[in-house]
Amino acid sequence: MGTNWDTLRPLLFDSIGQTLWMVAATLVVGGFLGLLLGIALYSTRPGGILANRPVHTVLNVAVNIIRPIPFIIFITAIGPVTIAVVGTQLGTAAATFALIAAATFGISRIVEQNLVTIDPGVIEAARAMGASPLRIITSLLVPEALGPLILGYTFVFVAVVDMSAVAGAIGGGGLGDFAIVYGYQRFNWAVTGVAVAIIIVLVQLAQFTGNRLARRVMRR
Amino acid sequence: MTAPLIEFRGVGKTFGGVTALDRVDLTIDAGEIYAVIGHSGAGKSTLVRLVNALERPTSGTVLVDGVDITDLPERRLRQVRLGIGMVFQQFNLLRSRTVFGNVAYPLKVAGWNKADREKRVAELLNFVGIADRAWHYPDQLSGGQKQRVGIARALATNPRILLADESTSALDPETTGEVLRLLRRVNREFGVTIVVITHEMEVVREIADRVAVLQDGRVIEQGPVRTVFAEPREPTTKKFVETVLRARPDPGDLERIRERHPGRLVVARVSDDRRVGGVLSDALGRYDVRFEIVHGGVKELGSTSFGSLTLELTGADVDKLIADLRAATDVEELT
Repeated sequence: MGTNWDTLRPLLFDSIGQTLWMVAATLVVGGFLGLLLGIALYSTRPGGILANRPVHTVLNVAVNIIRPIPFIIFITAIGPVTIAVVGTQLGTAAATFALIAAATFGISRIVEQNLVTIDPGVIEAARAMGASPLRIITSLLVPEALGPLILGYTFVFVAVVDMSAVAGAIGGGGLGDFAIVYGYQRFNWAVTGVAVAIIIVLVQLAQFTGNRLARRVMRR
Repeated sequence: MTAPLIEFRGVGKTFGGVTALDRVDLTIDAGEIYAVIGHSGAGKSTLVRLVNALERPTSGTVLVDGVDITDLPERRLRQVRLGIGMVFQQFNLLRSRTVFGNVAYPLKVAGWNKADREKRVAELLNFVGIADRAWHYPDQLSGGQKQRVGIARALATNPRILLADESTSALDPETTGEVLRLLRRVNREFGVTIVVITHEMEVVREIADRVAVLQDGRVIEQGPVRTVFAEPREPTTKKFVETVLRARPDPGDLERIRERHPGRLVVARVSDDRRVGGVLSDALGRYDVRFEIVHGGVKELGSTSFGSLTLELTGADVDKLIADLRAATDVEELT
């Protein structure tokens, strides 16, 4: 059975575009929200610069509830919220919203874990200089943990590419959907192979860039 | 008599039921170098952090420059902290910033403009002798260099008080000396009052004017360094003094000394006003005695010196010499 690449090629390009769009939007918006949530988790923990046990407990429990939900279930379960925000629970925009929501919680943990590695002595030094918590957050936490954070976000990129493959479940398209609909369901291994190859290249490029950036920031 | 710059009145601090400090009374005067010595866990680090309110006391009052900082709101405390520099055992430099960036950081916090910051940082780096490393990162510096940056950073906003928390404990002896001399200069040239936290009596000897000995959260002894060295009262203080003066040979030393020196052994305290050398010189002419110095040493302490010598005495008139020595200083015979 031959593969009709003339019909498939535009569909493939659309899929690549959809994947890139979903991943980019998730990384930018979810990355930012996750950073804020991660900083909140870190700062409110006992002994933190904005130590607040009730707030920390609420955030912590929320993250622990959302994060373990498998994305294929999450993307459908969040449907009502998606409709309220995006107006529909189908399509690329709806899938992107679900991706951003899930990524925010996942990223927050990665951010928190990287901030924990900052030497508490450095934060104490800043406090001793009279720095306010807000200043410590903006001028110290992120720069001091930047190297590990870049590696963390690189890891997130790969995870988001993985999650975006599920978007097809709600008609979001993307490379994962393409591979399943035109490859798997039509027993066309060549199509699946092409989709997989593109994803591998995408991931390799991201990992390579992330590693280089991190090394540069950490000066090693 | 002017009011003290820092005053602790019956200060206590507990951490979850564990007492770190217990009814501590201290006064530190403007312009002095005040050392707090104690073993690890004695409460030194807690004590120093009460001065800039990184920790709050559980009971009692802490006054800085006449202001009760015990219950000051965090926002007001930030103002107080601008006038108190702090250096740390592990330096606590920002790894993501250069030497210049680290020293400029507190100036940014204090709201200095860029031109003033640059001028001040250059001044400070020159003062601590590290101007040629301005664009290096902390990871590229030696321990001594890092502490110089730490000191420059702590001095950036012209504080009246400098807190040095084990500031030389991570350094080798030679670098320790350099850093201590630098702190001395900070005190003399800028009149900055320095609170030195340490577990090494050598540090106290080298730079402090007055010292408090902390044990189990309580100040067990305090006074001018010279007095504490000369007349230590508490066992812990005596042990600290011994670490510097090596006053008498420990049992292992004594055994080795005995093997080579069969004569009578006496330990004589030496200081400027106790003329041990004179007594010995006179004895050589008058008595049938010989002496050998087998242990001990003499150290400078501010403008005076003191220490102790262990002497091996031989000859027919040893008793007479010992009597003369006793008249001049404290003498202990080792049996």
